[in-house]
Amino acid sequence: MRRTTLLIFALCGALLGCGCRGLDRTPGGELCLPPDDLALTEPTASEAEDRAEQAAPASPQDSWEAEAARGGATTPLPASAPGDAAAGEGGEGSGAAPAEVLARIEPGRRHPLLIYSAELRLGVYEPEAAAEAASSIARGLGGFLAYRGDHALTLRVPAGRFQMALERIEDLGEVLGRSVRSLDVTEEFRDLTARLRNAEAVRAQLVRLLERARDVKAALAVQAELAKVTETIERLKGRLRFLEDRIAYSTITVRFRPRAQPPIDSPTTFRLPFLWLDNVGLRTLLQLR
Amino acid sequence: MTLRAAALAALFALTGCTGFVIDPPEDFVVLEEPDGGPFALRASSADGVVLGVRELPGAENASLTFWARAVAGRLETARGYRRTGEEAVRAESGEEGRLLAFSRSEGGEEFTYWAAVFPAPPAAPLGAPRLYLVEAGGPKAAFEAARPALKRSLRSLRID
Repeated sequence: MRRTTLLIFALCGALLGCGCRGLDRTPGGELCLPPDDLALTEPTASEAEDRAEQAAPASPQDSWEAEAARGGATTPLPASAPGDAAAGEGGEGSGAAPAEVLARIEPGRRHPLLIYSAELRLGVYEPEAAAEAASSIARGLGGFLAYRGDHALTLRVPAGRFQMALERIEDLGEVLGRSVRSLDVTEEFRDLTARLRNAEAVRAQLVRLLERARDVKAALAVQAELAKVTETIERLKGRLRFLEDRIAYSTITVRFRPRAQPPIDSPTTFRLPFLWLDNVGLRTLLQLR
Repeated sequence: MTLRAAALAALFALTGCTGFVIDPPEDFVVLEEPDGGPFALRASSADGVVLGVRELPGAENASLTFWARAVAGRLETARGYRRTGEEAVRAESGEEGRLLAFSRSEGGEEFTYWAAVFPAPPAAPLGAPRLYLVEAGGPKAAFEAARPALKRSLRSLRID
């Protein structure tokens, strides 16, 4: 049983030792995974390998464990370098290969992977109508409304139409404030894809171990580790999906500030010498008494 | 203004004659307008949609485009109306006009407003109105219900 535990440690070590450039190194720290996302924190790849060596079979009936341990410590490692991971070569498992993921986001272009976002403050006469018009612009460009509140809304538009959407929305009123931001997530994306590929390789090894377990205790131990690795895989996939979405669809937040109606007799308003023009409109028309 | 024009203008004013005919929507009631009021005719639905026609002195040489831009510019720049559409319309008597559609919110309620300008025919007598302004407006929901009937009324205008 002790050997099985060591083997599992070795596999998990391999998982952690590869592709771990650390999410906290990505630009714009806000997108980093929280520490608790890193469920397995030790040992390093070399430590795991050492342990696997120590766990070498002492008897023929144990040979499958050591074999698996050696394989577990070495097989997933080719993809450990983030740069290699982005190339999408090697690796195993059921998750999408990094190259596929990158291609799905923006076919034909791998670098850089940017998340665009913008915030606009617009002065408008009619906030409700302007919000409706902004939503319509986003829909017309293949985007959608993500949030709508009082005098504010968040739109998501395809990244390729981000600039066009901004310009059209700005035309709806007077631009009082504007900020545009791009966040480079290429490194984080590569790290995650490498981690995912390696985690899936470890899982495959664990599955093989489980199939060959000879007693219940060993099976349970492997199963427990399998559950942890599976959870890690799901987290990594979730994060990748989130990034994919953020890259593919830019976010535009618009806040509308109601503008006061200019007074009819404003000296700044150009006036033609036809007095009746001053009385055109709903106020005179609907005045029935 | 020549003596003849002044006399015709006075005649129009004194007799209260209108130089047009229009068919308001069937479920509208024609209102009595005070003398000297801005409207030659107004009619209202029970739920607050009003149709109004003004006869205006205008300017002899002003084109349809001029009046359309003057009205739209005044409403948009000075009143905060938002233009939602514009289209050509033709009166039953043949005059070409321009319908401008606007929206406007007031006290949290959405309103729709139409202003259609019809320049008088060039052969109109001196002193007669040079421009006809047909307006329609009301709360958005009620207006939408009356929209087809209002369109028919607009097209029924006959300028003498």
